[in-house]
Amino acid sequence: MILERYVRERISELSRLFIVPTDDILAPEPEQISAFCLEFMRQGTPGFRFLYLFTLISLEAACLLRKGKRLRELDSGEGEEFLQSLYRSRWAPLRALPLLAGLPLFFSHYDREDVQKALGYDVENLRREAALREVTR
Amino acid sequence: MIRRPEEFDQDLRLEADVAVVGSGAGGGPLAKELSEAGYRVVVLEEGGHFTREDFNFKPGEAFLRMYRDAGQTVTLGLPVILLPQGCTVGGTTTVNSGTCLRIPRSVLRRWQLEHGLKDLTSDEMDLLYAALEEYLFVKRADPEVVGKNAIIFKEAAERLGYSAGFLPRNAKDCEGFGMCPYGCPTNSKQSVNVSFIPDAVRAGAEVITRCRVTHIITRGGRALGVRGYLYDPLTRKRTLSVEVRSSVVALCGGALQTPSLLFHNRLCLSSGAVGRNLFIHPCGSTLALLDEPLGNPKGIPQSTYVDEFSSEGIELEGATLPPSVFAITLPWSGRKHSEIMATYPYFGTFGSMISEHDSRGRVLPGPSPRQPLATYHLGYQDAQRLKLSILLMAEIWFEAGARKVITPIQGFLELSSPRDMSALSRAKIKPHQFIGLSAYHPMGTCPMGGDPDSAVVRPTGETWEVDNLFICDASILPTSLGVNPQLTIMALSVRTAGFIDEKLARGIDRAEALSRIEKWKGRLRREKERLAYRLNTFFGMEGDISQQGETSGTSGAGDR
Repeated sequence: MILERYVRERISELSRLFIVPTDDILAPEPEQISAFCLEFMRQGTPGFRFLYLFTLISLEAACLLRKGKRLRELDSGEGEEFLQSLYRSRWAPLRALPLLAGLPLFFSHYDREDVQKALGYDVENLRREAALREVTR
Repeated sequence: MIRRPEEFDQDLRLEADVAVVGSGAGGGPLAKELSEAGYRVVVLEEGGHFTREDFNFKPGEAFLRMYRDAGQTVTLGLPVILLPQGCTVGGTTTVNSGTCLRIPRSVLRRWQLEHGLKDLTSDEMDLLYAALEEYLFVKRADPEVVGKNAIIFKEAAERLGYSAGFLPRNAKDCEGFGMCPYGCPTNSKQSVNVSFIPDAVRAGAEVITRCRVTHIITRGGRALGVRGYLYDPLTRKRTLSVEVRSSVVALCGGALQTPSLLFHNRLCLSSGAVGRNLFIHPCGSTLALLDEPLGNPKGIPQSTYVDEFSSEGIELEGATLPPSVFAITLPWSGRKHSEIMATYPYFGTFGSMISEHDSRGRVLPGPSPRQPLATYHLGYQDAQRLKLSILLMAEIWFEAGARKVITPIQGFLELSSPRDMSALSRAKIKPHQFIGLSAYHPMGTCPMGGDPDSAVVRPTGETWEVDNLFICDASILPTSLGVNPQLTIMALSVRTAGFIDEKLARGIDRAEALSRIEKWKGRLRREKERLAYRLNTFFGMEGDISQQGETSGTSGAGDR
């Protein structure tokens, strides 16, 4: 339970930094993203669970070292700058931190049908169309 | 019949002629061929059974439910490579792109010359391929439904004089819903779950889903069956145990799971080849911003190829991505990520894969049979060839009118014009500079070959060390194939089914002989009893002769 709460809190903070709403990009729903991330961890291997937790903790630690603040204390500009510095790092493990942390976040956010519709991808319509077609051998 | 764990309330003890572990490109055809030949076949599949009703256009959910470990399989090494694998009835074929290519002649030639597979002739393979292509409705992707992404890329490649075309696919009446890797919503893709498995079931095969096999039962160097357990898909916890006693065991779990099972059972290890030579076809991808919307992901995700550099082991194959998968390939976050995502409809995508030269991978035993560790180090030469494939794609995209091309190479993430390509072409790229590489075709970890010192499996598919234990999946391919392997795995599976049939037919004769011996022994015993009765009647002796014999035998042993 403590671990679950920790992951939920970190994911909520990261959602805000990773997904910035614009005219075409809807705002993230931290609850939905956290639920997906927890399920993603549950269904995965113990190795991945450990790695993902390690990534969340390392991001927090890197933020403290580089910015002297916790992730939740960063405003969007600082957050952007911090994450980009990690993406640009020449050291592969440091680069991997935001990549790995962002994976389930982006996955769950852009799997939302309203988010997809805002991008011009109408899933509901396609689903209806596909339901009318069944190919038999 | 396809059975789910909820249907059972007690441990399972089954008997069969063939126990098939895994129901993908290897297990499905094997189950169909053998059950249609009249054998009792039990298929044990770790994944669940999904139908078109379950395929709901949500890649995230598909990863959670239909991919092994939620799609989190990775190879450890530099760079870390994502190696997603399906875990369903139908194996990875349920969630692959449906591309059906035959083995390149040069690769088959090499297998014949270097791996002692002289009997695996191109004539035989051609016959098998032709039969499978007819069964699976394989034909070139229809230009009417491939989508704008594929057409634009192919036309640009042809303008540059590159060899390009539409890929052959196992799809019938495909209308291009663009969801092949997340489950075909119309059953158009003839993956194993809609082709071989239903036919196998019709012929009497029994498929048990959510069943993990942990033990191969052997005695005297001979496989006698398998043991495992059913698990709850929600909690992932073990529920009931399963044991299948069979004349033949066929391992078809794929190039990571099969060696892992052998490691944990300490079988076939004397050649040292189990787990070695992991090939995966590392893949790169490019995203290109164009002036017009492309309508992605509608169309056929993998429909077009450019094989200009196939002699060097480089293939370009189209790959459109839905928004959620597109989003995770971008090496940015925050505002920049959102800006690119907002232009998602204008992005074209294409992929490449390389056949390995100097990369090295292997499968090692993990904490349990279902959790093997895969290590893989991308070689320097292979990194340069991957870079070449990305340059090639960038050139084609710029020819198609791209305003910018996003690559997975650190230091060259965005190419804004053809001029930027020259800096990339001059650079010597180190393997760790690649970001977010993926691969989809693990193979080679239990190679087939004519020499028991270097191969795990005989040319017939039976292991060199354990009688009646067959392997029938991508692990037996002795080298990197260079093309999508599903059709070759299926062809080898049908071929192996023939050898199993032959072996079982001989086995049945032996069984008949054994039953005659049993009858003869019974008659002899009855004769002894009759004689004992007579002796007892006429001479007043007590006990019967068989008991006396046992007593005297024991005393004799004691005397020695």
